[in-house]
Amino acid sequence: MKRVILLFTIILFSFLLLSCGGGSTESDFDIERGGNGPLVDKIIFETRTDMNIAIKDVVAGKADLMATGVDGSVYLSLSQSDKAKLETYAVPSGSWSLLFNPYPNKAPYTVETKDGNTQFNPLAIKEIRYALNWLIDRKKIVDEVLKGAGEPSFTQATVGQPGTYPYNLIPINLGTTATGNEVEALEKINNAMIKASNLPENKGKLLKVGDLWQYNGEAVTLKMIIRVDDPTGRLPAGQAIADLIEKTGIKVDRLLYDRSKSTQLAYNTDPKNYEWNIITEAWGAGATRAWWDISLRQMYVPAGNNMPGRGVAGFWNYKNDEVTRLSDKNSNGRFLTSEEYWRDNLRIQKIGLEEAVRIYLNSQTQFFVANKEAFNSRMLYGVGDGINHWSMRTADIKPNKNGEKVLRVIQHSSQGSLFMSPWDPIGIGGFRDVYSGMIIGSATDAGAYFESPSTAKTEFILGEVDKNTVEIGVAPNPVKGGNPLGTVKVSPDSMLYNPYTEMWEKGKTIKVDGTNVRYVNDNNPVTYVKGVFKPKKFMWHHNIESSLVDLIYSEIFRANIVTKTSGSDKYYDAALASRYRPVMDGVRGSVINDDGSFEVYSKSYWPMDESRQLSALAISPKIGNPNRNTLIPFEINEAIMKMITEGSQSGTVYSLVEDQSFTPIDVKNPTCVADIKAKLIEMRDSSYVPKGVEAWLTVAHARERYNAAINFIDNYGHAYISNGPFFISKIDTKANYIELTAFRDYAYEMNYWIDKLSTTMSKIEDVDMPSIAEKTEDLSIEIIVSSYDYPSIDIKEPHAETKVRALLQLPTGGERVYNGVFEGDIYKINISKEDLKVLPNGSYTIVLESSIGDETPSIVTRNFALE
Amino acid sequence: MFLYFAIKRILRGILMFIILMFIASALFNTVGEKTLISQIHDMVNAEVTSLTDVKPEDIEGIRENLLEHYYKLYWLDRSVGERIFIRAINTVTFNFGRSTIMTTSDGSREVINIIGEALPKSVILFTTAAFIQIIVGLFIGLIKAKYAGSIFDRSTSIMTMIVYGMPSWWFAMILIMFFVYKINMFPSGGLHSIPLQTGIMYYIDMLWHMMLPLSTLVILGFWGISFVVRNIVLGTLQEDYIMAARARGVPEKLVLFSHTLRCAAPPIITISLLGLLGSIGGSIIFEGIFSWPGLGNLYWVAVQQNDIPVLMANLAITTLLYQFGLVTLDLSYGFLDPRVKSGGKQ
Repeated sequence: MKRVILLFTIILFSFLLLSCGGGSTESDFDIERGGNGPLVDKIIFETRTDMNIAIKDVVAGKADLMATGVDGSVYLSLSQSDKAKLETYAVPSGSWSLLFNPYPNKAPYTVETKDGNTQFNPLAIKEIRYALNWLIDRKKIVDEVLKGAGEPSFTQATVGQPGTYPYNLIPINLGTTATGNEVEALEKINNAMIKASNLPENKGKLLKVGDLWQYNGEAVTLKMIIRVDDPTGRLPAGQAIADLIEKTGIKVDRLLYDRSKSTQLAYNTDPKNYEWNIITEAWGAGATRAWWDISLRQMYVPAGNNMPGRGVAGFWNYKNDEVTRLSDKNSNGRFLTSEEYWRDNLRIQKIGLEEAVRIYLNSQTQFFVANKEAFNSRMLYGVGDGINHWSMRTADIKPNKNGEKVLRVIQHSSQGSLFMSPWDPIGIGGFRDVYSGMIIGSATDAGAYFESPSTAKTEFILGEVDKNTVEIGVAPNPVKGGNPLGTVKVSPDSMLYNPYTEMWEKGKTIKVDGTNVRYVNDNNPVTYVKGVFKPKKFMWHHNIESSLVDLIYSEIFRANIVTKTSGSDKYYDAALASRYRPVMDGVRGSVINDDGSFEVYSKSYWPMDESRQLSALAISPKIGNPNRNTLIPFEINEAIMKMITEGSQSGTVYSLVEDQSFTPIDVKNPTCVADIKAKLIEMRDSSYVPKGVEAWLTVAHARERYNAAINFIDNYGHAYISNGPFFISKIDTKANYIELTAFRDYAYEMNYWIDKLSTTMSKIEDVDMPSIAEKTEDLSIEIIVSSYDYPSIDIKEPHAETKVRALLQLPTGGERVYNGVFEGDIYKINISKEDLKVLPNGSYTIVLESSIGDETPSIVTRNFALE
Repeated sequence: MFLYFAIKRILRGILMFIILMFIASALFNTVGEKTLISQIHDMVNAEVTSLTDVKPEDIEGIRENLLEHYYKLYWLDRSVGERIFIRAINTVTFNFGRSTIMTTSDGSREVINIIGEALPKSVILFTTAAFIQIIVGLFIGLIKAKYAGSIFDRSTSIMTMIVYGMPSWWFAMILIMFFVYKINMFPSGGLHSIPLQTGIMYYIDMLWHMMLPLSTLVILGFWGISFVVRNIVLGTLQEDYIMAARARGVPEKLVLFSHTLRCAAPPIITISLLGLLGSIGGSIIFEGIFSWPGLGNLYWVAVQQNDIPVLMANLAITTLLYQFGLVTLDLSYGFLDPRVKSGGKQ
């Protein structure tokens, strides 16, 4: 009995120790805080399977930060005392839309189904789709479903993000409003149905019986897929929209499906099969954006593969020749001026809104929470995507009792997994899940440049372009519809790697014909832009300094992966090739200068923004995985490719392809890591030097790198060697956490990025202007502006440099600019009666803009009637 | 005689498992294949879409070739009967294959590894809780039976009525709010502290993490068992042979534990063993609240992700354990009650 009591006492004492100490042991941490790298010493990523517990843990200080965004319905229901303990980062990080199946998108709007029946598709009528914009009360959805945590929206350009206002002016000019106009919409839909019923093919078949429309005696029905696994969001919103549609006399069959079922039905079946009509979609912002041409293409242009049919051959596909032509032109840089770019993009937006195959409903605000007490200051965060890897890099927390700065980050995961995709640093599908992306982003400086999390402006990180060397030459093509012509001469010493000869060759260019990539003599050595790029040296996590070989190898890898030199070429990867091939057409290589810089030639012309133009001249050591910020040294990449092409020590058959019959590459999986290590040993013992890098890599240096990689794997048990401010020091699958340790040999000092990316921003707090302006009087606008130092949100007096403008949108197109004057504590803008007199009567939109420097301006739009 | 009975019962259990797996395979065949075909089409669509520069007339051919390849790979080119047979045989022989989406913590897609990672976590919490519930329930049930009608009996019966219907997730939340966020005595969830402890502290740390979920389960669970035990034992205590034993002056402790309990054992063992078996499957909501990545949580995520191989394996393993439990029950009946053995021979 005494032994039992003794054991019980020991256990109780241990519990007390654990509950006081939070379970941490001193010996596990080894701090070497220096001048470079991040502000914290370590980051620990772990998971919670319950969202409420995760938030409570942050409130109670059991975790410092929650990297998962919390929906408004959850966040707003927290008690005031809990909220007071939280530092909140609220961002419009997502949006909702409705996608319609418009098949056949032409009169008589009928569909022959597989069972031989004929059905009438009201959403094949453009006017009905367009009228739904007025039927839906977006403000009500935001107020009642999102509890105010969002904004009504009409386009893919999320309100509040950089560069969005020109796109969002279009729906305003088309007369849409947040509250809609139900009466007008019902009338328009009814008229369109009557018109359709009068078509000879539908005569006597499409009838309104009582309040219900019928076709061949059956109720006209729309199958609406509503996401049941979003019970507080899209489920009630979808139900409300279905109720509204039923007011038109069209029945709605509500398909309450989860993600898997709904995406399979809406995106993977032929629209012609007519298995669905409407789906409630949600989109994550993913990043802070400044340019919206890509998302415009994705959301409205068939070539973006997100429209009905998704570009799948054999399926019926939504077609619109005009948007396809304009988007092809813009997304491939086939324009001469900034004006042309904007004109065409806004035209695509207008057509997209009028075609209304996809209509946007609202943006959704998500709340990222951190424990207020734990932090010394706010972190950087993406104004478009919230907490991201920049937050990890710039987090400054208070040290614990051992003097260590350990950031404890929790993620919400239903399965309790830290990651749901293989850690493949080369293939298309690697690091696909959000959390893997965040972890890896903190450990990697992937490319030569990145987009600022606050302004989305291009910033260089692994080198810079010497602006004095930049030469731009673009001329119109005399052939109608042809690409603009380059006038910048390419040096005869410019060279590129040819996988057929396995040599670097001068005077060549790449020609892409279908899947065939050829390396041909350059008969017309001219291009759009040239400039000198100076790469910045950095240390890899296995303490090897970067060198030219890292940049050279990435070029060789890309050439090898896209070029199928023979039928048995195992290096060729179809998925990666299809991603890289389009940008390789017409590539003319570069000249490697004696000082290690590159004279680069580019075919990408971007007159709208200097920094983005310069980025076209950057050379990056990034190898593979174009979707994520991953970067590995050439030796790891080569070991992986050897495992794929030659086989592995364990006998496992690896592949970059997402195919269940193969094993995916995973640099944290013990078997895969052991196989990588075996290849590295083999490469070291055979003094292996990859083809093409011989001139830049000695055998001794290659062996040194292989040994360093082997040692890293032995020390840390994984093969993700990179170059970011943190390295992955522990992956503990038993306790289910990942530990990142500060890399003090990182290229930049502790405060460098927070100083560089912090910026003072202005905000328009309120606007006072009449809703009716008279031509006999000046129109006076008063604007209250404040400023704040991002990432802080503390509001201050307006900065002395603040500029406030009003952009009056003219009915003939274009805008008239009026500058504000600071008087007292407000900005005043006066539009003179003389200016108003020359304008026709009607409704006008005015965009009010405030900015301090070149940061993203704060935008507010107002409408007024001119009489 | 018992050996014959045991062999017969075990063989019947195996046969039942095989039949159940065939039924499950037939059921999953319809649902699973629908999902699989969609996934294949998704994959093929993605591949065809990426072939940007292929001649339009070649695209359909490429698409059909790819579909044929995947249909062959997953036996979709075979007859329904063949497919059901192959899947059932694979399941019966524990050849679960690879999951379609889910992975283990170290990235393995082998279904057996995924189940193997979650199963011990459920067992360690829920089976331990079930075990403690049985012991405490048995102990309290016996006392209640012994002092039937006493204040203790009546008050615990009222408690049973109050606690038994309480939702475990709600009670768990109440305990978490108090013990975790109010007095900061236990962690909010998970199995281990971070970083992982070593030596004896590893086990004590795990016990510390288990304490709150375990207590919740035990506090909610033992009342029902004690009530059932009380009623069974109370019935047995009315038997003539018990009165005879008492009349013979057999000590009350011996009457209760030896004479009464032996006869009341079969139904009590049935309840206990079924409780233990039920614990293996874990609990979807409970595991979610305590960030306890066990089999219940795995099942829920597999349903969400439509990961049919994981669902099938989950079902196979829980069915097997149930069959094992039922066979064990029958064998223990045979051991405890000779009449069952003789019945087995007929």
